Amino acid sequence: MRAYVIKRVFGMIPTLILISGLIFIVIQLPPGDIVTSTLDRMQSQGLEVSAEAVANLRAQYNLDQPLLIQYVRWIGGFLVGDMGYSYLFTRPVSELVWERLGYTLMITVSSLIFTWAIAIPAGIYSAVRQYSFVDYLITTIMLVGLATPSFLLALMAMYAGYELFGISIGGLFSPEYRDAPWSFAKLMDFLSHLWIPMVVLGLGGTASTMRILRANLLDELSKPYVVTARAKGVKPLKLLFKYPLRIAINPFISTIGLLMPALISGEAIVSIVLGLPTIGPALIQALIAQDMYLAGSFLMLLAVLTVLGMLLSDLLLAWADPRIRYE
Amino acid sequence: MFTDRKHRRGLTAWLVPMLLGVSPVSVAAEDAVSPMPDSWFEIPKTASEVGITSFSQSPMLDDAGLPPVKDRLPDDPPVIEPLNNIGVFGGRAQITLGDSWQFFNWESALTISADLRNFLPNLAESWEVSPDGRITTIKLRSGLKWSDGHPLTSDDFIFTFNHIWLDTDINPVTSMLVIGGRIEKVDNLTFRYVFEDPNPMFENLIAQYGSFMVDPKHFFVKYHPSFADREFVDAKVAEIGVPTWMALLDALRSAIIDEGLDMPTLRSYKIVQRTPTMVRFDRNPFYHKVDPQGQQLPYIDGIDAEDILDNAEVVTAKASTGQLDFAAFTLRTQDIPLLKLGERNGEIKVHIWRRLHSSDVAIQPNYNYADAKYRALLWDVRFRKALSLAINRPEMNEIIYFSRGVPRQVTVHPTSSYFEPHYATAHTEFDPDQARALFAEIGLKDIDGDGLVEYPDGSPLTITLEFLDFETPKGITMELVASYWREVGLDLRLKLVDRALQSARAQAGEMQMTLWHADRVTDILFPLVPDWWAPRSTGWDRGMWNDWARYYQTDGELGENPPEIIRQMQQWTDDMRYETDINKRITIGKQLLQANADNLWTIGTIGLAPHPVVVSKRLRNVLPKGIWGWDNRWTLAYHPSTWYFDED
Amino acid sequence: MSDVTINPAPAIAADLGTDTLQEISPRQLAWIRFKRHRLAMVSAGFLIAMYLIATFCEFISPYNTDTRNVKAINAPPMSIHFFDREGTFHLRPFVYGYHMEVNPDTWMREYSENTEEMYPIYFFETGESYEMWSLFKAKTHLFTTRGGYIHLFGTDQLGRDMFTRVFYGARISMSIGVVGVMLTLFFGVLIGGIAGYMGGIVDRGVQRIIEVLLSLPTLPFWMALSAALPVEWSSLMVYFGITIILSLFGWPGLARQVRGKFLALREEDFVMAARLLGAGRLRVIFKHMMPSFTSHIITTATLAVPGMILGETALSFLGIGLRPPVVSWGVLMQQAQNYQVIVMTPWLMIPGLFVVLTVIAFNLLGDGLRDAADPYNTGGNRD
Repeated sequence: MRAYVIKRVFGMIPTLILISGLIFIVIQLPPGDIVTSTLDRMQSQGLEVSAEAVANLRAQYNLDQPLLIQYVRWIGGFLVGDMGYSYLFTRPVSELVWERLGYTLMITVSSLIFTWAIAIPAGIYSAVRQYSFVDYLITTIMLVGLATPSFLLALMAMYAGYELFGISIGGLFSPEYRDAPWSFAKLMDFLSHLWIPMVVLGLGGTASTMRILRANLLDELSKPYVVTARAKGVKPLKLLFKYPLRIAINPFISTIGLLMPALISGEAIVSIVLGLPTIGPALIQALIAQDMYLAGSFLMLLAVLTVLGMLLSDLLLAWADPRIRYE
Repeated sequence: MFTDRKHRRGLTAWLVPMLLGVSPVSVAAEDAVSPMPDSWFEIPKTASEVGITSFSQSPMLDDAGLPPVKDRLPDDPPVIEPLNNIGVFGGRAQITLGDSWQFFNWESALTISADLRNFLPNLAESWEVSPDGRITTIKLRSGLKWSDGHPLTSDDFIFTFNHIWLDTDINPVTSMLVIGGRIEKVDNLTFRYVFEDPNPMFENLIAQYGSFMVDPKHFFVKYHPSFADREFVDAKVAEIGVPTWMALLDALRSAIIDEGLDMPTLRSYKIVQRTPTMVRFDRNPFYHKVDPQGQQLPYIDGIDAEDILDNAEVVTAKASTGQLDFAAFTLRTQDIPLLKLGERNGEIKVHIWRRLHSSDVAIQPNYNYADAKYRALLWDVRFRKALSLAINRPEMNEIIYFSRGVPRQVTVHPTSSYFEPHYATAHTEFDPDQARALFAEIGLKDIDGDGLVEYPDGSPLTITLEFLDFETPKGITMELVASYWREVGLDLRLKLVDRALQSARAQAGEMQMTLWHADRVTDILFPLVPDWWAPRSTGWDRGMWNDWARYYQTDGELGENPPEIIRQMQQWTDDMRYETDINKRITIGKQLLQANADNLWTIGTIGLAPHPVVVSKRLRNVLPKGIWGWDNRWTLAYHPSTWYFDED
Repeated sequence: MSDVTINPAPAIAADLGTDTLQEISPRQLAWIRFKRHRLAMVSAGFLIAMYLIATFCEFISPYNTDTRNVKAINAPPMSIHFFDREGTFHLRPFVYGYHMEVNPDTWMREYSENTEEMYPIYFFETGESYEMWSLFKAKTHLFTTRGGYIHLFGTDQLGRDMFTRVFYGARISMSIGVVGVMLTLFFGVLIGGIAGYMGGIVDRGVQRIIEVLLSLPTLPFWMALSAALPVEWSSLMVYFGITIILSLFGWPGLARQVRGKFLALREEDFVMAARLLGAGRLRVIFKHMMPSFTSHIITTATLAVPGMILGETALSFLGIGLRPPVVSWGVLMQQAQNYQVIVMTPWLMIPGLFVVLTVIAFNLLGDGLRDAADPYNTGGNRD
């Protein structure tokens, strides 16, 4: 087992290096840079700016150096935890990251839990009571959730939340709890706001997760050992949990790794619509303004999280299923 | 401007309100005008002139361990008259960060009169411009203090001018606005700006932009290498994580980092806390204004400004559901129905101001475009006239502006002393037949029968207009314009671009056509920066003639030498800038504006558009009908420090 | 063929229409199984109808996408009537015109049916001229009115007919799905197949690339790439650019599956047998290995289309995908994604409804295909 872990962890490194290079290239692709954005803002305030000012500002921000040097500076800093400086927000990137990372993770993880909490029972029920009316009903609801674009869902949920429950629009807290110390009431307020992004994001993944589970389970349930056990009189529920479910869960675990990028992308859109203080909206602003350090660091962070997620799921899978370790 | 001020003030005192109330559609009862106090147009009286003997402060400050209010105010504070009632202290306002420059303003030596033409003393007690226009002298009020109690003196203005504006590390290229100038100290309260060439309109700059001309020297000397220990500064830079000490200063001045929370300010509120989602302001205990009963302004105790990243929809939703006490900057004309629907819940009141923009969309043909054939076509004034005549402005007004905008060209604002009505109405009639006739006259014919005209030599004619859809309803306006032009046979393609592309391509002169909205149209800024009417400076929001502007800016080193008529216009802008006689200046300015009316360098659509200003039903003294724009800093002349929350 | 006679199960017998057992090909079996999946059949029907509409949208819509009706700004959908207000029955259906009043309080236009104006609907009628497939001009519409106007899905803020715009939008959005998936298939199968078959260093290199691509957050990369599309490009080129960008994230997943399959199949006896019998590599790949999972590929492809469609809407929502004057469902939704629409003009969200229906249809169809393609399983998972 240990050999496998070491192999996988070391395997991650070249991947991450390639990713960082890719990120850097992609950020630099569009024409213009942070300097032009900054100067635009200054000009719109009536200040006049000349081409020389542009050149000097660029030098100040180290943008006149060859791309390779810029890349090395950036990735070097990232590795020691210095994520650089955001010219868009005029603050160090690490400050911005820490502020937002917590909320991003909370939303992403809670969506993941929501997905499982719904998908697993639904999948089991569907497998066991195939083609029943409830099966069709569940499938339909899941499908609608999957099919509706997330921003539309978010918008409608926000509207419904306000009209039906009086939940204040935008953000994760009502005004009165915003900077109050944590208390039970604040927690309740937070949850009442959290459910919208959680449901909107989670619903997308629920349908596919449910179907995967159902398919796996059906697979297992038709196998001879199950039939034998039933014939010998083992109770159905006990039987279900003792063997088939655990085996059916296996490929399921690998979906953690696959869900992460989708969740993080989805979170960006939903957060924009709902006005949440997470990484997504800041990242998109950074991409538009071509704030290299901010956008690049965010993206790198997200990629690292994703790779870690995939690693985790692979390791879990290997631990659960010995066959894989010896591939 | 100074001698005739009283006379002009009288004229504009009723002219301005009339303009605000008038619309092409019949004036409904709700359009009735709220009269502004006379004092908003005159030099503010001081407490001793009004006869105030004692001052009072907000109860919030009673136990804060501060010196008595009389000592915190200047020796003879200016008295600001509220619009309607004397207010009561208390309350915290909920707004978004986007409105934090509008809900309360920046303080400068001078301020702007409500007639948008004249200037009034603010931090200054008086000021003087020398007859040759080279020297602007400012005498500060005695006893002004920063928000930490430290006195405001000439040194603070001198520091900013010499060590920020003229510092070659911070500003490698000195701004055109202060080039050739220096600052001299007369005494602790008096200083003057001295220029080599006449600069009689420097006072315009001080009034409109002057908040950026003063900084708390006692705070910044700790961080500026010219005063502080270089090692200390470098250590601070490394500690905070900014790249250079210039960036550190910038971050401090914008109070974006925690260090900047301590930075003293002159504004009515100071920052006390900054979180990822929220900026909290508390009242500035050393604010220098009082109301007619001696109560120290502002009335409202604090502001909670929420930071909503890049989503105007959330702000609109919050505003219409009564979750904000004040909202205006990010709101748009098309939001008005939703906001007014929200009014029915009784939580909010929706005021309709008018945007300052002369035209929400100023279409800019690029006279410096590379292709000679296209350039020749654009240079033909008949072509431009045809483009303007083909636009059905009344219909556009109905569709986009609920018939409450004003069809007009790009010219000065009606409040301006340079304004003549025919500048605005030139070629704004809807006459597609005439447009087609002009096309034919130029030689544009539809040869292949597809309904679209070609160049006289038969080659296909397609114009691509690239633009950034931001702030005013540009996208929907252009979709209408494209269909109107198609009706008369012109093939217009629209391309949306983002900020970076707009900036790069417009300045490089690579766009065939672009657009932006036209502000800087009042007496405050027009004579100083008449950029819509002559190529004086390059800009990403002006794509007409950047090569000619570069030529002017660099004295012929870069860019292209403009034709005679353009050079004449550039000369006029110089003449205006150096002219000390106001009447002569107006004459020159009008020549410039007439040239535009005749030539249509840019094509306007609809201007003076309705702009929603949403206020909580408890918020009082907000002007119901004002002029909303950058020139007059949105609310500056309307005294937001006198806004207060009603107790019930 | 063979005449072994056994009584088959009644269900199968009914489908086959015979009570003797015969050999049937896998394809026939698959079709039978597919027919059992009623939802999938309905979905297939719906999608065929949508693609027909998308193909003939110029003919089916009463107007062009930029036709403006100044009398109907933000007007609600019209109802089709057969009975007029006196109760008289009309064989030819008709609609009423709009009666419009501006509400002085909200500045909103308020519409009601104007029973003075009756516009009967005529079919195969001459109307506005249009260009069919940008090839030839025509004037006949499936339905329209003589004089008057008809807006079955209402109008937008410029008075453009939403019915027309939704179905023109179908053409772009649904074709992006198909084209994008074909690109994904092409790259996925090609690269995955090569890696799986060749193994060794080629395989490891491809695996590395796949892993990198799979760990990238999709949205930010779409954004950055879309922002890099040159401004000079025509709408058509932007369309293809967006499609390629969308499929960029689809092919790694598919390639990985294909590779896995190839690796497994390589060891199978029948492959070795074919090689021993002298079959060339390519022939082995295409004639022997591929058929094993063609069905799987088809299913995956069907299930990937919705992802493309949703991806396009997401990009357009952010303003970086297709943009006006191109009309796609994503662009239409971008113009309708605000609070005001929900509260005051909800019919502008009808494109969203079509997105949902189309995506659901593709999913159900894919489910049906998957069930049908594996006849010896009760529902296998091949992820």
